[in-house]
Amino acid sequence: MSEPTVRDRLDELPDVVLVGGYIVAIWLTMVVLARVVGGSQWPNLAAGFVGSVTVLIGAYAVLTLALNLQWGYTGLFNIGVAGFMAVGAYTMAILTAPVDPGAGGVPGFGLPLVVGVVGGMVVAAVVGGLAALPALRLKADYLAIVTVALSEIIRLFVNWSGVAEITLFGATFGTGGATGISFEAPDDVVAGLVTGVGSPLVAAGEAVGVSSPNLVNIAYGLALLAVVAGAYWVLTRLSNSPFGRVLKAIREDETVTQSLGKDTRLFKIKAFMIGCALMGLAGILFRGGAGYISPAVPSRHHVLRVRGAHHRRVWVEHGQHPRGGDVLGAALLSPGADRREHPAGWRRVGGQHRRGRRRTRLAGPDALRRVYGREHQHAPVRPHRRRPHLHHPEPAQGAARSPERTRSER
Amino acid sequence: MSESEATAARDREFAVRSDDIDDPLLEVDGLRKEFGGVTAVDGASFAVETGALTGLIGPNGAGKSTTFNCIAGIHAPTAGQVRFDGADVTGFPPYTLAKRGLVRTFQIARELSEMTVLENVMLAPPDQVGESAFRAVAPGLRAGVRDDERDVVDRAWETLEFFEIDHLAHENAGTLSGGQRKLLEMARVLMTDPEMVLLDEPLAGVNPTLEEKLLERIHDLRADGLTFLLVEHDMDIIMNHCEHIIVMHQGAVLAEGDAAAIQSNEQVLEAYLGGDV
Repeated sequence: MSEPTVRDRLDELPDVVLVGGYIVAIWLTMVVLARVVGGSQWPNLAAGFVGSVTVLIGAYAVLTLALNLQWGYTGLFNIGVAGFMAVGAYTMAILTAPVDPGAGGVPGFGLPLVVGVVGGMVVAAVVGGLAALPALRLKADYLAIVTVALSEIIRLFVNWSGVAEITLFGATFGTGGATGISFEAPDDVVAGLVTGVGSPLVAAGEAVGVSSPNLVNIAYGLALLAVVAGAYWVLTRLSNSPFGRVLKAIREDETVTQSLGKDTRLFKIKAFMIGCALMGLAGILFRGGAGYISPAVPSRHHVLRVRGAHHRRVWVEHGQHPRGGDVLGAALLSPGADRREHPAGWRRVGGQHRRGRRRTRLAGPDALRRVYGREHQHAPVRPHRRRPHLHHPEPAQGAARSPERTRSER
Repeated sequence: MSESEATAARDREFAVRSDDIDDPLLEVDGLRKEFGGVTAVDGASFAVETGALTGLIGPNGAGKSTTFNCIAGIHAPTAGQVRFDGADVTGFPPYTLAKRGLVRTFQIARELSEMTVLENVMLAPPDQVGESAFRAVAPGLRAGVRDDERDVVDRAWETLEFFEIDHLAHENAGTLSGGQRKLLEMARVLMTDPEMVLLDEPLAGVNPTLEEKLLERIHDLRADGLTFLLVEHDMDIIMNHCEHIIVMHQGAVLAEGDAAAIQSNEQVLEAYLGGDV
């Protein structure tokens, strides 16, 4: 080999440094951009940019870590990610929505936020487990089809007016059908902290022209990064354990693993459930910024699915079994990739905060198709760290192999 | 069916009958496997003596591999019974059989190629504490996992040294040569603490030096009380190393006995060896 390239040198850095450095670089870019386009308002604009992109990074990283466990480690090709996110988010909404929501609202159980988050993860895991029982008899693409179907079933179910508001054993609750549910979101809690305990900070922020909602957004983003660190820690421990070893063996050759005395079905179901719990958490965190979930959300989740596919593609190029850090790197790349895929992307970063871009972007099937189509007009972002032993074709061909391909044919 | 088989076997002049086996570890009784209209195994019955090296031979298409797969739990037999250590294990899944001490290797070595040699071997020991997802993660419970893992690593190194592939421990298994993969398969299978090992052509594609090494290891292990059932095409190996030989033909057992008996059995010569040894 000749002298080390930049990439080689990057590869030598520890994951934490690499990922941290990348995030800081994104922030700096945002700030510079805000300075360029923001005029006199630029500190507030920069805060808005940084907050939004950090929230995105956090939620996507959790998702990608979950996918890494299911697909990267165990070889379970789950592309129904959106469904499990919806289960997490809706469960959390139902558990924490106020018992007496006032006119037009859907009552929930009024439970504390923590119960909602844990409940959302548990129910997502249980739904994952139930889906896994029959579905894990299937392999690869066939499992993928079942997971997509399941996420569609979930979407139709929460949309169904029959479960909008039901009374069971004297308790009234529901999904809100077409109108959705309002509940106390995790970021309300963060907001409470920032404006309460952190009031000096707010004062300082306002002194330089940063509004308190933007500060809350940043705080929420940082909280998400802490969640990502936690998930990363758990999954690293898991994958370095004998449990993780069995998962890898299943991915390599299930028959051999069985022949060596491992009940592979049990391991697959466990891995699937853990991954689904994390996807539920990601759903909760995504919705956390709104405190409201409605039928628009599932269609948003379609987009998440597209994006999910995108992450996976980034990460397929790494080989199917990157270390957690590679995946995290890929996840962190994706918000940037998202920007690059949309010509107006840079504005959208700020626009998301100001205008609620998700809502405007996803009106219906046409919007979906546009998004799907876009996926294919642009080559995916280059992976951060490319491995020499790739089994997978180069990006363009990778896109052609994507399951969404057929949907984009126009 | 099995009755007439038994009679036929008794009639065979030179054959040593299954009932000569005093202490069978594995018994196959009237095993039958149909794939659609094809009957791959048609009432095979034999027994494998505890602690012996038994060879299973037969011309291509005789049903050896199917019999093997039926015993190892890959296929569920259409009819018949497989008994291991006195208990009926017919149609049990491979992992249950492995836990009871009956393991197999594969005809084409199936290494877990993206895992290191050491990881391949460390996978095999049964009931590892850290295989519980919860115990593997929960902070207070890791001590047990670590101790267990230390034992597993020590045993893994010992086993790799025994097969003389310890210098490859940190290589990806996919980079090994064909012969080294066979050694790895044997090492992996041994780590499950088996009582009996089914070897599906363990010497196919292995060079003579390595072949010698593998056979030496098999004899060492047999001396330690392991039982082997060996499917092999190389006649010299079967005749020189196996004390009991089972010959299959057209899905059934044609003859059984030691090397001398098989070599002079007319039916075997006719069906399998073409009249000349």
